[in-house]
Amino acid sequence: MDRVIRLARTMAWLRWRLMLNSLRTVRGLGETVGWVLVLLLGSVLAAGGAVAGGLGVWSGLVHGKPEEARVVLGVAWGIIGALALLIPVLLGEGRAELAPRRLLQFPVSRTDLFWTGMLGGALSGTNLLWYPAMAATVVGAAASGRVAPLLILPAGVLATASILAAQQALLMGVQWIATSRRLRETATVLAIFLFVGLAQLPSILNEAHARARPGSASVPPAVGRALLGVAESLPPVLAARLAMPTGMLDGVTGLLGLLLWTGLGVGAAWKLYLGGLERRPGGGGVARPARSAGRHGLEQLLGVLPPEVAALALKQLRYTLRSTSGRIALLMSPLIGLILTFMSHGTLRATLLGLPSHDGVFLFLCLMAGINVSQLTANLFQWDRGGAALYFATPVAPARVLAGLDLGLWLFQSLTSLGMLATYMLVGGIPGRAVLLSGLLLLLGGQIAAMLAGCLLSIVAPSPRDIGTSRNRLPLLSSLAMIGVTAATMLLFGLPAILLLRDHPGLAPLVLLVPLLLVAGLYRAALPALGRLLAARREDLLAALKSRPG
Amino acid sequence: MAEAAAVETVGLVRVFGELRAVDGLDLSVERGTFFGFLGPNGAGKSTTLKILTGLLEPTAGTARILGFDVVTQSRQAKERIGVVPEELMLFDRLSATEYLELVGRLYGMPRAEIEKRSEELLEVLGLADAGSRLIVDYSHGMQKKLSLAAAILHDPEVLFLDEPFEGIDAVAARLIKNILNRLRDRGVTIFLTSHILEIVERLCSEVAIIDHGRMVASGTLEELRRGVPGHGGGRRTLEELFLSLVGVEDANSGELSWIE
Ligand SMILES: Nc1ncnc2c1ncn2[C@@H]1O[C@H](COP(=O)(O)OP(=O)(O)OP(=O)(O)O)[C@@H](O)[C@H]1O
Ligand SMILES: [Mg+2]
Repeated sequence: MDRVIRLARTMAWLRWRLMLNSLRTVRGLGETVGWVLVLLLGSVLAAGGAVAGGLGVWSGLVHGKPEEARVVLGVAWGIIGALALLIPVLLGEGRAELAPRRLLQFPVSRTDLFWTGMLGGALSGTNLLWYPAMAATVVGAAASGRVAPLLILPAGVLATASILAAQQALLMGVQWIATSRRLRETATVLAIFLFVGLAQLPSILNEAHARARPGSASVPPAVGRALLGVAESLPPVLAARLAMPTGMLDGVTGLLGLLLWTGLGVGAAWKLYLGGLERRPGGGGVARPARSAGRHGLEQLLGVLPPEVAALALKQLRYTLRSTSGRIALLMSPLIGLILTFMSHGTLRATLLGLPSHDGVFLFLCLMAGINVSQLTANLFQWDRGGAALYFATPVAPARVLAGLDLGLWLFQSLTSLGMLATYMLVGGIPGRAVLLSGLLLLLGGQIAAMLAGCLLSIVAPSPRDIGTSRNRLPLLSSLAMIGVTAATMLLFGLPAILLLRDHPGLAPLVLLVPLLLVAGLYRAALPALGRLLAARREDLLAALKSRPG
Repeated sequence: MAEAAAVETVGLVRVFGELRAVDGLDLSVERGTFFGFLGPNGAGKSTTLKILTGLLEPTAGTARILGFDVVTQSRQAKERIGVVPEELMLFDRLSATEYLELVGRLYGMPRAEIEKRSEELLEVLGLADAGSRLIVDYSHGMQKKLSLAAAILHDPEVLFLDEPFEGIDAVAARLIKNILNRLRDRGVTIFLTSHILEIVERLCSEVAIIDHGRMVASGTLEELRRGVPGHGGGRRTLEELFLSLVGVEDANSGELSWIE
């Protein structure tokens, strides 16, 4: 027993420690200041939640219609449950340091570790923030006189237990995913894509609906019933049912349902915990061989280039396609095209300086396509780590290193651009020939301008990134510079295009050739100097890339 | 004109802030030598190797490889060397095959030749089954072996190996020793750092021992043994030599207060 308590205390300490350390993002923020901040912020949040929960439930029950009482309680507990599930995941409480595998090297048993982990999880971190709110809802409900006084307390306790079980299962799931590189990366891509994609879905559907059949937007009754059935069997609603049963059977159903959910949660947590223990750390199952689809076609295409440039381009293309941010950019590109199609018909219907909105949005899309991966263009070496030494240990001219990496990214960017523009044109129609050509020149000009600035920024402000995360924002200097590049592209290409397309459309592509040749010539001329800079700064670059990815 | 030495440094210095990591090093390694470059942790071995392979700039002094200055003629020098650096320079999101292809092309090799040699190398090093997996999923030893494969892919004249046996199992170590011996027989100069002195003793014909960036002793093993008399005039092992040259004098050091 003593042993278990000691272990539980250690686990709780570890969780607190990690949470505190994760809050100290501002360097130099002292230990004490961190504690004070946590305590202050924590008490404010907890007290606020308690007041809101207690008063909300009380007034909802007292003032609401009697038949809606259950809904009030169910929704209150549902909100608390959703926060309890989401916040720890967002704050990274399921992080690797807590993974049971790491702790098993110490003299503890698997079962002890599991239960103390559950207990420690329940008693630490953000969970302490919502317990007061939970308690306040129980008090508020009891004070309203609308609930059975004997039932509200067990209902509240069971609701809490089921939420905790689900939360621990979720965190164990996160840890389980973290044991495998491929699972982790796939999960990240899917999560971000779903998050962004789903957020856009209503507006897309709305627009589509409005354009297709005005006034026919009602959910079929069968779907509604099914959704309701699902909602009714969720723990918060079951708990509300237990607190306000319409009869004996109803109450027992609520009770059994809650117990079942709690058991399922604990069982799932146990399974995922064991799964995490049994996995080989880092590896994870049989790795799928790296695919090299389209390799031969591409190599033929690159065959005209110096071999080292082609090889580096291929490397960079592969890396980008294997990176989380690259995969997301690729997945998002048709979606962006789709969204802009609808915007060009809806919100953006107003004309742009006299240009028809469809054409204007097309040009805008070309501008976006040119800059949408600037966080890759302006940080060429971000994923290279030790590999970057190869650029300097082999007899390649540094300018060719830059050219090769740029070319690889350019190929990738052309893929995403194609995704955007093709979707846009498929759904919304192909613009006139002059607009099409001007747009493509604008795209190309923007790409080259971004590459030119990007090479310089990649050398002077390298910033290592983990290829498996989507967090690859640029350092401030680089972000500002890339905004400057966008502005310059707009000025050099966008403005002449818009002005000319209105009155002399045939002339626009011809005139745009001038800034394009200018930018391309500048890039070509600057490359040797950039190469020399790269060679001169190789020590700093390699040292920077070796440091921990931010 | 005599043939230039494989590796030659004169008054080589590298400073990191206050620290003189390499402090006036004079080295000369003849072609075809299997050269052991020894020294305690932090002595400056890796720093010297990085200067010779073009990864670090020397603060002062010169370094030549096969007569080519590593600073002013770095391209010619790099074409002729192969490197297994201390921190492996692998692109871990490529497969072994893809990585070797990249390396081969950076050395300007024709594709057919790259394919043929890398297949053979992966086979011999026991990586053939893993050839299409991403390097990030390799074990440490597998990465080390791949790194060696990449270093000899283009048939270099001088091979720099920084701790190639670290983290390698006995079977693979034997394999690598065989490969290195065969390369030496073909006239390749091998410049090796290792803390496993038995291996150095067995493989190397010449050694240099440095400490604090300065040369402490150099020559063939026989010459070194003659220089430092052994206990009772017996043959000294390289380990005894090493310890007597750079080791701790105090036999009691390493004592911990709570371990009796
Ligand atoms: N980039 C750097 N910046 C600052 N100091 C460095 C750098 N690289 C090496 N040093 C320092 O230079 C000294 C020599 O380091 P080096 O890596 O050459 O030693 P080594 O002989 O290879 O040691 P080991 O046997 O441990 O590999 C050490 O004190 C090290 O801390
Ligand atoms: Mg070293």
